[in-house]
Amino acid sequence: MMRTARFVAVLVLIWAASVQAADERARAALLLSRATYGARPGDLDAVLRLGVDRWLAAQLHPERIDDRVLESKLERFTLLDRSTSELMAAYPRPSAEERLALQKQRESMAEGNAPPRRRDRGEGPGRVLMELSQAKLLRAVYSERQLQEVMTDFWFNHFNVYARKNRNTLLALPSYERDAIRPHVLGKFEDLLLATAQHPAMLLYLDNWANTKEGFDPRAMFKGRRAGRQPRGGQEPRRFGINENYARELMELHTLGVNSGYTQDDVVAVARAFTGWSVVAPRLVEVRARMVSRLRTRRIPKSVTALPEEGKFYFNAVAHDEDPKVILGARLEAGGLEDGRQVVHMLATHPATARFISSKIAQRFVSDSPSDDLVGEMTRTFQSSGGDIREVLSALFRSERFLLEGRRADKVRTPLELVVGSVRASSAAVEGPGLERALFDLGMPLYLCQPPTGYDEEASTWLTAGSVLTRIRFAGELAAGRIRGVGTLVAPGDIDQWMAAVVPSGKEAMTADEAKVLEEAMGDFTTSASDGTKRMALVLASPAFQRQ
Amino acid sequence: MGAQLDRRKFLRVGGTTLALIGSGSLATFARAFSVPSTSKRDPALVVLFQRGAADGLHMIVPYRDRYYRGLRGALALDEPGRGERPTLDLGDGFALHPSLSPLFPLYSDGRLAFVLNVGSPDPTRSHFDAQDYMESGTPGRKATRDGWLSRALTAVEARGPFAAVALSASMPRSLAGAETAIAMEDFSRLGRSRRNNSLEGRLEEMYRTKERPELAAMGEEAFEALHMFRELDPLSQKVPEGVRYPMGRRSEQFRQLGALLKSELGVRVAFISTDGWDTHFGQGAATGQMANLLGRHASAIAALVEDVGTSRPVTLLSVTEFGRTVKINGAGGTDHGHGAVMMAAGAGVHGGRIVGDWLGLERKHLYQGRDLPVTIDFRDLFSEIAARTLALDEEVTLFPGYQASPMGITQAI
Repeated sequence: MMRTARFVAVLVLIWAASVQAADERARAALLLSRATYGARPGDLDAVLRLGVDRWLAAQLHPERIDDRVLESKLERFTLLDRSTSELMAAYPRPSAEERLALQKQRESMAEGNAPPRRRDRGEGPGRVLMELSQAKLLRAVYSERQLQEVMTDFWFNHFNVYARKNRNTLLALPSYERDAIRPHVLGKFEDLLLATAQHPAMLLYLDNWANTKEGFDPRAMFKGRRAGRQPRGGQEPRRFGINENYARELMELHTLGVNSGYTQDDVVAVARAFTGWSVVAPRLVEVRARMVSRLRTRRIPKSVTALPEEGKFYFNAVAHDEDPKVILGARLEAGGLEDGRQVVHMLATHPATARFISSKIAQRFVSDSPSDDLVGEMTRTFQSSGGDIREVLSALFRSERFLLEGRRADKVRTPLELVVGSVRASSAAVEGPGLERALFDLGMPLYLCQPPTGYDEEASTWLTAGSVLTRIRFAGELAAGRIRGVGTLVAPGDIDQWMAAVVPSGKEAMTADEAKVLEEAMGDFTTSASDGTKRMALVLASPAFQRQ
Repeated sequence: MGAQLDRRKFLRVGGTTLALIGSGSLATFARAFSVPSTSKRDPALVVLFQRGAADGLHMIVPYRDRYYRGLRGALALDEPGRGERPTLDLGDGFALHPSLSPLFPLYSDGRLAFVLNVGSPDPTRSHFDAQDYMESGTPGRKATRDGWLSRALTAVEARGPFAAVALSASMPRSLAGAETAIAMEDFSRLGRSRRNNSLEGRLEEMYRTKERPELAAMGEEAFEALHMFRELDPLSQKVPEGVRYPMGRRSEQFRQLGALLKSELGVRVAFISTDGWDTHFGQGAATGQMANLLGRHASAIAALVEDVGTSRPVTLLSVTEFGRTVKINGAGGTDHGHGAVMMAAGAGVHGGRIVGDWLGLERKHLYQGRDLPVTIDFRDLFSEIAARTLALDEEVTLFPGYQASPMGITQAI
């Protein structure tokens, strides 16, 4: 009797252990496909060896992970650690003649002529975008701090800025990602929000730099000027006023979410709270110099001399609307710079924000439509931790619902996830620019999402008739070594083993039909090296690989 | 998963059902159940976006206005018939820029109309915002996800993988959210990818697997597009004798567009854009930078119209995000303004005229004393053209929150 019971107990333990092992494996696979840019061959085993929880803990504390391989690859960039004012000095506004020459060149290119050769073209600010994109791709492919990179992309996209809004926005972008986004990707949401609100890139992109109290005349800054004088040209002096762009997106896209109860009056009140939050643009410095030289008075007003260096945030007190404001039912009477700071605090700690941010994070990591229960769990963590992003992620990844809903979901890789995931899966070396073009073809060019909404996450956006054909083409070109800047692929010795390692959740993610066709297709090819890469192409282009 | 397929199917079938309940018309019934839903004879709408804000006063010249010369300075053009490259008389004190002369026959035949002082109620002078607002069709609102053309496409229930085509690498904002749209920088790529045939065949099998309904629907569309394109091989069609597209990459896109429109691919909506209109510096007058741009634009449009010819009705709408300052700036160019000039041409356009109220260039009539005003909301123009060309029901809302009023620029096709 005793012996039988012991035997049964052992059996139960073995069974429980194997269930647990299978569970661990599933969790590891899911985390690799969602919390990273996709599994490399060997990643799954490595995570299991370390233990899923320990791996996750490390990812949540990226500073503990050695990332020297990536760091050495980033050494080649020369612009990304410069300040915005350095970049503005390095790429000054072109003179009228230079602009004319550029226009002619663009015109000639529009006619289909080849762009001038690199050495004739000179160095434009376009190089900033080139370095940003290359660095982003290298980080996504090579960083061991994968979750940090995924979150950097997530938050940049959440607080999207379009690189080509204008020249200064582009020049402010390296600092935006480096100084406003990166330090806070796993930190407190409020810090992140404030950092983006005060960053010149955001102020320029959503026009808050020009948001002033109603009827503000910039000449008020230059008190020495004779009042009432008409400027040359007979045009009316340009007067500024409220610009609601930032205020609206701040509530709709950055914090509360659309239809969360705020009104148009709230938008205007928030805009008024942010009046005077501006940027020292090179143009402003030029104008200042010109105006100062024309001033009849020797005493240069303080509002003029007190400008900080160009490319920096500055609070233009004379443009600030000092009247009291009512925002979401609360009176705001702080005045000055404090007005905007209080709005940031108010919005960052609002319950609607906790829910909106949680649901967006869940959408990124779990499914296009995460359950209310899961979002609820995360929302509570957000609130109890004071908007601590690391805590929210930790709660998400440790929740049973993550595995449950995540595995069930049909989540599609965005173009960025597909392109980087393909490179990681195939161990191809990224040697220079080239993948950016693939992302352009797939409709997700880096740093070039125009609307403040950022890129979508939903499958329906990314899987369309045209995009599937482009995705298939990309897999073929990658496997054939025809993508510029990417090294040739080496076919794996055992294709089945490779597939099990790099297709998210392995073969179990495939339907029976899909697996059957893939199996048959593999038979179309020999085991020769050139056919080996074709087999890889087949896997990378397969429906299973489009999923996450 | 299943639910998503159902949603997709429902949108298509369900939309039809709703339309049937709504109108009960036989025509709707026929339109819904004929396969393919689009025939070669269905009129197509082509939108050309002049990105960068084209200077309207450099397209149609108010040569009789007494402020014109003074304000325009070196940009001013002569009255019709004078100079080496004379402007052409459009009547009512307006003349056509000499570079637009390829469009003059269309205007004389009553097939092309200019629309004056058209634009957005939103005062933004940012290209980025203004284009966004115009393409989403919701001025002042940035969070609108879909584009106005994709709403038109949904309303017309056009099906088939080529119902909407865009000559660009990614889907333009105007077609954002469209279910049956395909965007490609160069459509010849579809026809060329014959390599890896066994690969392609296998992938098709995988994508059409019935167990993944949503994927299957989309995969079906993708490979349908590929097969359809290769079978019809539209790009091999000859351009008729005497039709000449200008040289260059953009013009090649116009040539491809012409071929797609002439084919049986079922194109109902097309989108193409041109750049370079942001002429802050050295704009030129009868010759020069903008004259060159206008010349290419006009030749491409004229070639497209000639090329498609009588093979099917096509309506073109040439738009731009806003106009430019009336007065010449310090660099021989013009700066960002407000009211613009747009063009409508082809099937259903009641042309041969300039639509819109001309108030003159006197300062008090200018917006903020510097720009042409906006007296016509672009949504009135877009919605009338689209409704006529695509035969949309009256109750269709292309512009949420806006009641468009017809401006009488169209007639029966």
